Amino acid sequence: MTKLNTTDLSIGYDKKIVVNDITVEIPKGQITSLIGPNGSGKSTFLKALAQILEPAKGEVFIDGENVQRLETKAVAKKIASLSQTSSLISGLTVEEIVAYGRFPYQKGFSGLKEEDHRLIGWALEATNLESLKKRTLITLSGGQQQRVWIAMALAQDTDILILDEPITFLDPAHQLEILELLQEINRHGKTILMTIHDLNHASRFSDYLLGMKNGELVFQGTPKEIFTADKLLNLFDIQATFATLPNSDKPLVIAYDLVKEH
Amino acid sequence: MTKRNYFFSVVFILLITAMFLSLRYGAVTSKWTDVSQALFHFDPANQGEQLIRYLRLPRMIGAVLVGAAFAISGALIQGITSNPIADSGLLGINSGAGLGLAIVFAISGNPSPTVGIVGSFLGASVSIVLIYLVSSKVSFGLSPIRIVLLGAALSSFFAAISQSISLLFDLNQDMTFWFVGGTANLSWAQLQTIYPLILLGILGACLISPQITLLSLGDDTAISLGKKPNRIRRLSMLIVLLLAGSSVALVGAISFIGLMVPHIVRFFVGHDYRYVIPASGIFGALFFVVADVVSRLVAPPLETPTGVIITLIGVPFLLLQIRKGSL
Repeated sequence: MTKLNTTDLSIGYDKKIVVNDITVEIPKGQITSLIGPNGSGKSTFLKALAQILEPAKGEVFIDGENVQRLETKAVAKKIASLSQTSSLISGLTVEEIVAYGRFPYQKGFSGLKEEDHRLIGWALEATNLESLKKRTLITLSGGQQQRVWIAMALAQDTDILILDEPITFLDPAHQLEILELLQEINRHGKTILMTIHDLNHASRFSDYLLGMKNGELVFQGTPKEIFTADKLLNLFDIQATFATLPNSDKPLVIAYDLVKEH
Repeated sequence: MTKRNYFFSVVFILLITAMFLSLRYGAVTSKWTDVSQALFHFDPANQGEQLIRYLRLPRMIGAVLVGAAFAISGALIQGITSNPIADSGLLGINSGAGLGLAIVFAISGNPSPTVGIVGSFLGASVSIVLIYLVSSKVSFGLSPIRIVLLGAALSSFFAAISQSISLLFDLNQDMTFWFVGGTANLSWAQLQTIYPLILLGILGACLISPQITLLSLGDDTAISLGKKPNRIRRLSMLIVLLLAGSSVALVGAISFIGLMVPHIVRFFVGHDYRYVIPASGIFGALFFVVADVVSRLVAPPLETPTGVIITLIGVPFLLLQIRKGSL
């Protein structure tokens, strides 16, 4: 299983540093959620992990190798990453998009091989898209489109899956559908790293949490370790009240208030 | 048979038919026996066969190549700029090439095909670099409409300079043909210099086509699937230069083919550039050959420039698409 870690990673746009000095190892085979307020640098951090952005300082390592020294294609076989693609309009069909997940493995004009067809079929099946595979992306709902992107990432057959806000624009039922799908994928042995705003979903569906604020990694740990009044106060400036359902070690936030400044 | 294969087969048959018709019909209608003689048992002493062999055949081959080249370069530009209204003509690339030609004519009087191409390439590359610089700054929120406005401005600017040059140097006779565009002056000598460049461009476009589709899924997705978006854009611009530069050197600044053809073929073959590029090529060739035959038959024995026929179809098409809201 592929190991993903960073050392002293800083990332900036022009001169402005957005992510500052993060050293972290993403737990293998687990679901890790990155939480933190808007503008805390979560998306930027994810983009650097997937080689989309170049670090200003520090390194990202895949299995001990510096990502910047690897070919983009080699990285594409280890990490699949989904950005916030909700606005993309495409006339491609579901099947075509998912097939492009096999792109990193194709050489020249060789076309799709047996193995490619198997993985594409599996990705469509896992995301429950078989009946929609001839439809074009623009004709699908937001939840269905999100499933298409996930299917493409699955077809990419990587150990690590990085998703930036995979459920932000979805209604509650579709949110759950995507998260359960990710859980299912995780059971097949994939490491998942995502950003998520809903704290209770983060707790329920994650094995591990990373908290980011102002570009810094302020804490990391299991949901039980993180969901404490002082840590959430520090991270989001909210005063939260917790409860834990019976037969679960995942705390839930049942109410929270803004901290009034005096 | 799928809709896609059906489209390819039908267009292919129509193209072959149109190619033969374009050998037979013109100011003078030739006999089929002359056509076949000229192709397979050419007798240089027979005037009817000469007409076909020396005038119509290079013209037909040129029309096929240029139609394919303009259509493919339009599809490429639409793909890399995420702009459905892009076309080498509308973006000022063709008139840039035209200006390059005008300068070459002004300097050397009667340039060889090779020199003409060099001028055409240099002119086209000025427009391409400008368009590339502007459209790669997507962060400025440059809308498709603005890029087209920039192209229109470039286009009229270059056309104005070209015309001034041709007036100053008294090139009107030589240049008029390039301003309106047409196949009337196509010769074997020109074709021989230019056809390898166009074939190379078409091959390059087919090879890069899957990556254009990747680009259409967004830069981040392209990177995530192992490709560098800017490298794809630069390579594509080079191919556009090859295709549009060569075509303008052959037939002049003809617009709208690159705009119309990819839109039409997407309806039949879908949005994957692996099919859009070859389909645009074959359909563009058909379109141009037909337009060329029509241009000879409108008012024989006079020639209506092919560029005029294409613009007459192109403008209403553009308006219709805008009205439908698909652009």
